[in-house]
Amino acid sequence: MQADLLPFIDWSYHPRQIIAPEARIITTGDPTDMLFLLEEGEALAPNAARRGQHHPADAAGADDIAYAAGAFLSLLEMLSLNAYRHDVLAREECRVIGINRQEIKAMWDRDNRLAWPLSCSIAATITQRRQTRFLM
Amino acid sequence: MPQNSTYIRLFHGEALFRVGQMAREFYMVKSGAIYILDEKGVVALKQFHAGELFGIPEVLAQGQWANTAIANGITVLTRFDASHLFRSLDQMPETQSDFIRHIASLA
Repeated sequence: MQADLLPFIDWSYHPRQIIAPEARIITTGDPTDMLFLLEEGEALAPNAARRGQHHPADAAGADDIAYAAGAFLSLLEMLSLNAYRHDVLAREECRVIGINRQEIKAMWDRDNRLAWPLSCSIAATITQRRQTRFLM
Repeated sequence: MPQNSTYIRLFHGEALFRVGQMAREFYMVKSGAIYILDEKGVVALKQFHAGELFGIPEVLAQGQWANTAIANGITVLTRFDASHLFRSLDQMPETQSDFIRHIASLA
């Protein structure tokens, strides 16, 4: 469960949202001021090139990103961008927890001030690579 | 300048690293630019300018450079040894270093 990667967050104190099947959890262009943990259900980030052509119930394609319960949704985009670049759709009824980005950053900065910028830098590199198929 | 980092100065067209070399260092551009070339060495796939950092995922993965990098104009960089990064990670709380390694593993 990826939530274990952020053990200083007590997820039980954050509100849950129930998302209906086929509804959007994240919409392209939403600000990345919230990180979402998929607590229950399955979700899918279809390849942006096929946006609008993909039905959430379809099997995930090679370039799609499938999320299972316990996953952070679009974690790299949250770390590296100001706005989400891909939709994330519920493949079935999902329960998600949202937590404010600044809240996470503040908790991280308490222990070590390098960790957050380093995470963002690595995430930005990977996000660029996925956009240009190039890693550096 | 932090320990385990050095400045390097490249002439226009000089290679910083070549495809297949082990990624043991990462870099920050201080002035000038670094072009990352395609497989044929003809097209610049990516450019890094002053203030930009690159090479960390490869260093964390202890992998090889997938492309050749050359200087565009006289270029000055800060070169950070991999040990600098690994030591920084070791000095972090385990939860944070685990998180960073997880992020790097998504590359």
